[in-house]
Amino acid sequence: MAKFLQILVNGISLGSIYALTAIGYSLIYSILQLINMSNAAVFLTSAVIFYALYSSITAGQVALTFILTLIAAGALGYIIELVAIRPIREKGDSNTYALISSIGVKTILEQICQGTFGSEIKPFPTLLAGKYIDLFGARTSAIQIIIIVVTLVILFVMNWYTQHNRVGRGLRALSQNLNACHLMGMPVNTLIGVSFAVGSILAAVSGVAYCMYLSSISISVGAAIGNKAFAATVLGGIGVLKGAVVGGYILAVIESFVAGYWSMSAMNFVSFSVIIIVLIIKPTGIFGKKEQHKV
Amino acid sequence: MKTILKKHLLFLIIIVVMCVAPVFTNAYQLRILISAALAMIFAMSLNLLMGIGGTVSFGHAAFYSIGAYTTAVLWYHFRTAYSTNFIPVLLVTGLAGLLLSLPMSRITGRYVTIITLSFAEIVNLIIKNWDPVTLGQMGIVGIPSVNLFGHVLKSKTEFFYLTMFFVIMTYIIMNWLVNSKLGRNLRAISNDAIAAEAMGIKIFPYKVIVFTISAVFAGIAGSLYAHLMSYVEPSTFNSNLSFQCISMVVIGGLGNFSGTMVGALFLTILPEYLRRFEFLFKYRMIAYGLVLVIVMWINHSIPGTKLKNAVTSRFNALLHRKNAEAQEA
Repeated sequence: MAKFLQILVNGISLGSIYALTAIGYSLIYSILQLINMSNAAVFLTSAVIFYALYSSITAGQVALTFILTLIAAGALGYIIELVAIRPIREKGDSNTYALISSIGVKTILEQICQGTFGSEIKPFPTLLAGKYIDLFGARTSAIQIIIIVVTLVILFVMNWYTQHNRVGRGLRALSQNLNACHLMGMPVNTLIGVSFAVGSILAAVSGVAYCMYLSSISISVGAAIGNKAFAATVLGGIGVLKGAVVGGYILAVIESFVAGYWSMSAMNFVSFSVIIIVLIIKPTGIFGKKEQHKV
Repeated sequence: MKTILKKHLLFLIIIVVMCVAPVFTNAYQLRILISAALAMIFAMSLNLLMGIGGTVSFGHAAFYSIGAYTTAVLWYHFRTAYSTNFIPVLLVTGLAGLLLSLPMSRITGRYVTIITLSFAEIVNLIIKNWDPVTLGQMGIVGIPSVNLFGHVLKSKTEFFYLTMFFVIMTYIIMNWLVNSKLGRNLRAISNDAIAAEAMGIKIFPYKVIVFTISAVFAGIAGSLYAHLMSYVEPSTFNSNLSFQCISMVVIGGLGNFSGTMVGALFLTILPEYLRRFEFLFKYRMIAYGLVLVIVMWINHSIPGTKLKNAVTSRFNALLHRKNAEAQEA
């Protein structure tokens, strides 16, 4: 029982990290029908920014460093949209080209990180190191609990933001009909920029949280989580925010149980097989709506 | 005849330049040229899938790795020659393509992307963990040069001409396919699947065929790669390889095979060229990303490939309008 709980908590805390990154993919897909591959690179870049700030300017102050990292990530997201996506979008070109452009951005960011950070594994500052909480016999580290709680808070804020906030409602309107928003005189370009910023901030939270969870950072964390988060988005139904969250948690819990009761090397194998099987059974993902095509 | 020559002019120029190049290059540059030729085959196979079949695949590296590992594993366990392995490589990669195409009976659009990505991850994990056959993370070392029916290609120049032979064959077969009934129907499907279905084109069999053919050519490139590098290891075939391949296709222009060859040549040589600058060495792959973004900005393809098409189509439209006006008058 204790082992079961332990694995479940591991799964949920990993799932929180997937879910936060997955929202970024899903948000942008719902508006532009674009798979924004640069999201995984933002995940990595913000962790590297946090590490760089923490080890130089804001030494020792986790909260301040965290806020600065989020600001930087938000700015980065807006700039990515401004430089790499907007020119292509405004020409009215196919999404495939914007996708390629985002892959270009991903390459640039990853290479900058690799060039400045190097390719070795370095220790990452964590909160309440060595503190454990006994949860019905399951030994959970404090950082896991913090990650789960912070994620839940963010999810509630996101929900409120998209339902009640003016900007959030604008984002939902965009995802319903982009052209109509143009005609209604909404600042569409700014809002799309904001959606990239929001996606990047969430990726930054999850990037920093993941490195704190591992209490180490290496250049490969982006690739490890990026593809998984994208897969989780599709599993839940791409373009639906609820789907991204549920997909992230399902995938991570399955992974933890496979790793815990079977083997670590079978973990990724099972999770990707599950995705293929789910999509064969329900081709639009768990919460996805069927795309209607006009003839 | 003239129109055929005009249509394939870019291809002929590339082939002539490439075939003459070994006279002037040193061993290192020749190796880059061979890599470029392999990239051409690989990217052309993806272009059939993406440009003609209309499927964005994030996992094309899977077929490349299956081709490389089939020939490497056969050599390691049975010491068979390249020419003996050739047919098994075609069969295994073709079968893998067939397998990947099966979910496509139900899945369309963006979801195809994640299926291909997951497939590639699964293939990579199998290679990593199937120790008795693939030697896992260690990789297979010491694969000899190509042995064609007892004749061993000792020099890299011979190897280069073998790859060029495959490049030419790939180009010819791809062009033949595109202009055959298969290619026409595929283009109809990728333009408008519903309309194509209404006209009596069955979509699923075509998906199966295009995936299989595309996989086979990627497998051929992969098997040559194993013999070129003389070792294979799983981490080479990650998703970055698939992304690089997509870049080559898109930069050259979707559905444009000679453009793809330019894209492959350009993106293989550029990072190698940047190696010579000391200060850029660490950051040389950034140029790769920059090229992608800038090319997408300007015209989605290298000048001379897609740009030319755009100009001629605009010119034709103008001509058409002039004719119509003249007729009205």
